[in-house]
Amino acid sequence: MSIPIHSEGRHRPDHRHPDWLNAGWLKHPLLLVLAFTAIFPIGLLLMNSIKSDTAIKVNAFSLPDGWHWENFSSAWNQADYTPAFKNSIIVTSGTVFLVCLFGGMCAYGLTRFSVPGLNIVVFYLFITFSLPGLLYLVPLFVLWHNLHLIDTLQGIMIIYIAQQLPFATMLLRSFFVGLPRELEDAARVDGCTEFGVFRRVILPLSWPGFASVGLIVGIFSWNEFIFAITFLPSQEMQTVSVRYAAFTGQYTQDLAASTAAGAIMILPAMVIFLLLQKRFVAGITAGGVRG
Amino acid sequence: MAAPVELGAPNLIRARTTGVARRRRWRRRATPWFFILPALLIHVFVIGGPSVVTFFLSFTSWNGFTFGKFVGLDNFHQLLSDTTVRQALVNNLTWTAIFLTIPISLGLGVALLISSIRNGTVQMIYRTIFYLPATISSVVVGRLWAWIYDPFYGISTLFTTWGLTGLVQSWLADPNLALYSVANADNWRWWGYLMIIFLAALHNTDPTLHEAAAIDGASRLRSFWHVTLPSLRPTLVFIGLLTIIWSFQVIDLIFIMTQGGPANASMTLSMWIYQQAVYNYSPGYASAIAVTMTLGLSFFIAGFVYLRHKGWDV
Repeated sequence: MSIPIHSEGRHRPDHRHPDWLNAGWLKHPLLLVLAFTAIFPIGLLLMNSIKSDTAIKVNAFSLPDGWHWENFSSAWNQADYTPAFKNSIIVTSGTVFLVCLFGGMCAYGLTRFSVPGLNIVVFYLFITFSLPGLLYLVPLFVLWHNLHLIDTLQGIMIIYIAQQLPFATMLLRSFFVGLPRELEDAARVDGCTEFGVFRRVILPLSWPGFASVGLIVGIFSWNEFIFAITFLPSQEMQTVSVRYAAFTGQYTQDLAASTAAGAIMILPAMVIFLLLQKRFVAGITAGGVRG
Repeated sequence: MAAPVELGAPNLIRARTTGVARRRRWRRRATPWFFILPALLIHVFVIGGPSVVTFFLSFTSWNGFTFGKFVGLDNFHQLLSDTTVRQALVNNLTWTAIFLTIPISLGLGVALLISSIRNGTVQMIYRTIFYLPATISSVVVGRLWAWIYDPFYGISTLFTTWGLTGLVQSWLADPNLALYSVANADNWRWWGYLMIIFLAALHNTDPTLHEAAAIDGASRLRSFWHVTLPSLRPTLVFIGLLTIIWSFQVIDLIFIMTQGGPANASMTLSMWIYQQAVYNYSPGYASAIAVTMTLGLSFFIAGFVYLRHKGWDV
């Protein structure tokens, strides 16, 4: 219930903000400067990716001296991106699918049943959520070596799945809590098994949650570097991020090809973010803000 | 699902129904675990189990090839006299201090500015721009900023033409600057994420509280201090905790841009653990550093859990 004087429509002052923040003359210049610093390095990368190598070396901040699209093909070939893209796409899509499946199942099990022991699972997920990757890297490497999972896509995929499961479970759990139970009960009365309820009722109703998880996990898997470079030593198994790092390490003298290689690496994630940013932001805030 | 009941054998029927009831009870108990176990088993297999193994490794002299022997607390003694560990700890603390202040105030300040914009489209454009760097892979962020910091091709050339010779530095090669230069690159792709979280938290604050404060004659600054900030406290505490945890684990940009150099100037604990385990073939010692780091961090987490139990709304 708001008080009448203060609800005169659009002219109501916004008391959430101190005066000096509401001053428009200060606000937009400040935001524009910050927006410039956020965009500038990305713009620099994209702009230089179509410049010739000499033009970059003479002045990296000058406007393009023409459209040197050949940078992209030479970067693609020299960095050996064809197998790398295939590997990254397999790892990313496999990780996204299995994290959504197992994370969704786990979240469903944790919200819809009350059996002793479930609290321990939640506690375990909360505690291990913040374990440093460097804590388990060495034994994991030995284990993966003995299981012949080093240099395999399924090996790195299993690691990514495990790393993303706590986050996915927590986010989906907050989603499932809000779903009405009546629908599930109706499905049960109609003879659905528990897994049938999950597949036919829960999954269709909570697709926005799954979309957010899929986007965030997908961009994580696409970008991940430290575990990828450690667990995928041979060139033909490497993902794009590792190939990019190896290529730019070898050919730092060819700035045109290495900036183009960087542009190729970042564009898929950036385009997907720009297209689906609403879902993406919803996922980050659901995972980050505890209500 | 129940088996068809035969007539004319009362004892048999009773025996069967109890069997069915038992099976049903078992199924009721087992169903939740059917949903939970796949995720739990994968996690224990990849993260939980190996973490426990690391704890045991930290008491051995294992070199990665032959089985190490039990050396008691030797690794921990070595750790106490390791000057690199000390340097890394100082760097991690510096990193924590930087990330507890700059990105959080930048994220909160910009979230306040953006949320006071009435035009939804303009708000969304700003939000998108500020978040964009966070979608870029750390390898590209690292290489891109290493190039910007490059004294021959990078931003220094621009400073030279503008006559700002004081800003012409070898940002990554100077031991006094390397850590801050990497932190700057990391902050560039980090604060937009905090801004998004603060923006969501601001949308959740109750506007009637601000109206009440205004009626009571509070200035907007006081209203911000006494209403907005307290309502953001859970988010602030949560982000503070995350910042501490992540600042102590930071490795990726360090790995890509400096590998901890020059002369350990930007060494962090995680980077040192990686170097000890992978390049220096002493995973036993690396495990001891990792275990110590994790125990230190768990104090913060325990404090957080304790405050929540005491009824703090954090």
